[in-house]
Amino acid sequence: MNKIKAFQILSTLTKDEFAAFGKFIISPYFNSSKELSKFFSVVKKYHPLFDNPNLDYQKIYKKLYPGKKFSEGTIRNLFSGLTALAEKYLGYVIYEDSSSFNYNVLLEMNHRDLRKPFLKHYVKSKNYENSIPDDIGLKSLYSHLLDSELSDFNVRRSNVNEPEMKSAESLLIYLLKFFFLEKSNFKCGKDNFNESLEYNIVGEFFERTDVEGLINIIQENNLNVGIKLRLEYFMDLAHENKNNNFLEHLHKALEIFRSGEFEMCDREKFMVYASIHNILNSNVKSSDMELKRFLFEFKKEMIEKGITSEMFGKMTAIDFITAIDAALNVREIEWARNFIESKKDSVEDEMKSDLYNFNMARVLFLEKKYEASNECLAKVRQESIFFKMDIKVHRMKNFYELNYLEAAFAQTDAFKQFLLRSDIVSEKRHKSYSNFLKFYLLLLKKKSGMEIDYPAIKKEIIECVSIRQKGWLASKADELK
Amino acid sequence: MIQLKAFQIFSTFNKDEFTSFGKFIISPYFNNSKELIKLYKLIKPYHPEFNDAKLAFEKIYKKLYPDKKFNEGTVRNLFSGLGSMAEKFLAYINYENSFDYGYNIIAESSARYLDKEFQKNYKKYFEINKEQADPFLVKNLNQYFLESVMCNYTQNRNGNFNRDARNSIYDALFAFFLTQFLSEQSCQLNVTDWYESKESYNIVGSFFKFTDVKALIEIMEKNNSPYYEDVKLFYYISVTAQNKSGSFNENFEKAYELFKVKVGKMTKNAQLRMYVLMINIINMNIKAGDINLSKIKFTLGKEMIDKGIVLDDQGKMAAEMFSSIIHNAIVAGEINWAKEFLENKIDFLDDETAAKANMGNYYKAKLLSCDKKYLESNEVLLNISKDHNTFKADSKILRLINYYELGYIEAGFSHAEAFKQLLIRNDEANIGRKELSSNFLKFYLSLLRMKAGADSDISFVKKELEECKFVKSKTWLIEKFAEWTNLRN
Repeated sequence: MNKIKAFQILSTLTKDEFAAFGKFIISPYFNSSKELSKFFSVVKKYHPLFDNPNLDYQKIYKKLYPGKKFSEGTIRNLFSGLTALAEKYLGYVIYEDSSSFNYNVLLEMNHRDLRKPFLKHYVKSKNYENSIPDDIGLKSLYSHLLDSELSDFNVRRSNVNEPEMKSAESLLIYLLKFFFLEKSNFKCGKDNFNESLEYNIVGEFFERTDVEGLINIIQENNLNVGIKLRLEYFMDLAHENKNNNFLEHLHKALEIFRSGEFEMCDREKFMVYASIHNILNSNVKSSDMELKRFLFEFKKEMIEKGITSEMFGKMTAIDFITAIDAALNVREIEWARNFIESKKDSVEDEMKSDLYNFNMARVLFLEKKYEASNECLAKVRQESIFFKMDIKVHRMKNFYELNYLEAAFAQTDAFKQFLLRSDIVSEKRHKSYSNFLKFYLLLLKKKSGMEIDYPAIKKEIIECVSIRQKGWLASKADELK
Repeated sequence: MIQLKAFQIFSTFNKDEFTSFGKFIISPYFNNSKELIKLYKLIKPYHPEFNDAKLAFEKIYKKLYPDKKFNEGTVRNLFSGLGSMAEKFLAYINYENSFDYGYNIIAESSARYLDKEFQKNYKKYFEINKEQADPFLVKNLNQYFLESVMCNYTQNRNGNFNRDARNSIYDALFAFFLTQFLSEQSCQLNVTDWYESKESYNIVGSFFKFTDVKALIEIMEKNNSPYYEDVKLFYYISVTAQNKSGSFNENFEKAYELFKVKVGKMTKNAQLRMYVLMINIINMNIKAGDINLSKIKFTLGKEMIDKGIVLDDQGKMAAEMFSSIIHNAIVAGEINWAKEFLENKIDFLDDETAAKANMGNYYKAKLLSCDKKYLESNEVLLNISKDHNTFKADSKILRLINYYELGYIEAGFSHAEAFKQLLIRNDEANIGRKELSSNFLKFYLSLLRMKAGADSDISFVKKELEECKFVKSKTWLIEKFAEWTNLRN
């Protein structure tokens, strides 16, 4: 793609956005330069790639000023003007469809003492907020801002700070929703990457707040919101495995979720599915096939209902991988293969090929097509942080199954060096890969004829808490027996 | 002015804004209707008053469609379209100077993987927001949005899930939340205590009941949260307003010191709200005759005037604000300042405000009464409209005071009786306000009876007055009871 900044920005615009930019640039409100408008009309036909040879400075100049002597400075100035406008347009592209648009109208009306229009617009804005899907609680935040403005409007007229419960309630709901979400994310980080924080305001908040008491109060006044918060509350208890009642709390959460007692937009549904998926993942043990099956069925339900990150544009890599993980954990190989094939175009272009090849390699491995699996792994870009380590692990597994002992030893050594050098992974992740390596090497030695203390190794694998591919290592140990 | 939404909005535009609207309406990005542009050009010369006879619908129609038969619906539709455009323009008028604009550029740059634009604009708007330094409004909320977008950007680019970065998102959100709730709690106490009303649903109160806020703030301090300083001010204001420990003066002193350090760095709107909040907190706790707090209240009002923050964007002052400032000056004994204020600032009140003339007359009468010119004071009181609710009670009380000072016992009794009847009949007045007046009347009548020669024991009534929380002109009543006590001793 063209290296010119203006083109870089313009090439990210969709067809509709680009058409709107066409109006933007000829609008005197934004641009008074006719030359710039003319310049744009010359280059616009090359959207979105802007890689046509006609975009050469001299050719553009000739089109704009036929008969005049070429001046590079003039063209550079025009490009600079176009860049400034394109950048400015980024601030406008979604503005009119955003909650802040209505809020800013209201602010101005208040400042200008436009009393009747203010009150009318306040009602209109509140109705708008009620009609749009909730963007992870942002609706509550804007509701709070609108109500605060109304409160300010009243204060300026009566000098009485009237209590605005609605406004305060919206803000508290917003805070609770986000804090629940962050608490859950933090738990995942803690479980998966051994993350910790010296100062964790979300954790401190939950430690020092009777959240259930607050939710009871909210539910008495606002049933719909109260039930949603109660759902979050039970999901949180399940995630924390409070009093070892993980399943009980999970079922309470699922009961509320499936009761249909309240309305939920797609994004909210997605968030609940994603949270419950995380909760299951955090609590599932490698030997608990029943829960693994439940996790897969739950993920399958989510995908069949179309509740995935795909609804909001492209499917995220995490969403894609977790679906395959859930399927492969219960040997639903065919389902996983179909999923990879049918959803490969749903992910970001940047990651599409890597995600496809990496996950197909995993499927091929389970189908015992180890050569083919290694071929797929070879196509995954090594620099991708998502796959860097797991590519190595899967390749080693393939070598092992193929009995390519020399290649396996070499790969093991390379991986060992990599882990020694690497400082990009968390301590826990590092440990789980090191442990994999340790046991893999022992199994490999045994396979190549060396004696090992089999019962001790098997016991160690089973008891090891932090280890990659535990199930596979244990099964291979059994085979060697 | 013709009562049309378009004219109402246009008349609030200054010259530059109206010129800018001219560009706005001819911009294809916003408007495709040539007829609207034509209409705008027709009405343009009549900005900002829009009261010319040429703006009659028939005349406008004729100019727009010279050969067609008049159709009012068409003109109304066009004005409705122009009104919508004017309304839409309000969202754009300050947009490019707003945080929203910067934030939208940042968010779009991130979503479109325009990394250089993202980095450049993030830095720019981060600094702007930091400089804004206005914790009362949305500084910390903006900070929360900025931290969030940066965190998403980092995660999307390199998979870096930095927990500390995530914590600072929630630290900012919590700071915003806490300042809002603490100030809400302070305001709420003012209202509920003053009128002794009960809130049926009080989520703010519930939050403070169910959360150990003090401990959370201490944790913020211990961990050097960048938002601790913002939260601290609101925390002390709230503690002072609640006055649970009974050490009001001590807490107020802390809050006032923090207020003095912080208030200068706030925006005009935030300053106004903070000053009003501080004054309200004093109002809730001041005892009659507390000269120190009265002086602070006066100083706060004077500062608001000196800084010009009491004036809105149209250069006007709210009637209630005017009243509060002059009243506080009189209570603090700053009579000359009050006179000057009345003379020089009365024109800042909205001309359309019915209160303007009544307020002028009431405070003129009040100041005359302070100068012991009771007869002149009563004459000025005659000019106050009887229909004006705000000063109905206050002007009657001032008249009663004047009669007392003049020794007009009969007039005092008959006016007191009339006032009593008014209070019994009047069910519009808030119960709390009614109580203020009826309590005044009760103590006033005791004084009047003594002046008329009754020889009763006043020690009980005096004690009752000292303990009474809701009574008008308490300082004057205490002064008069003290005079009687001195006389009898």
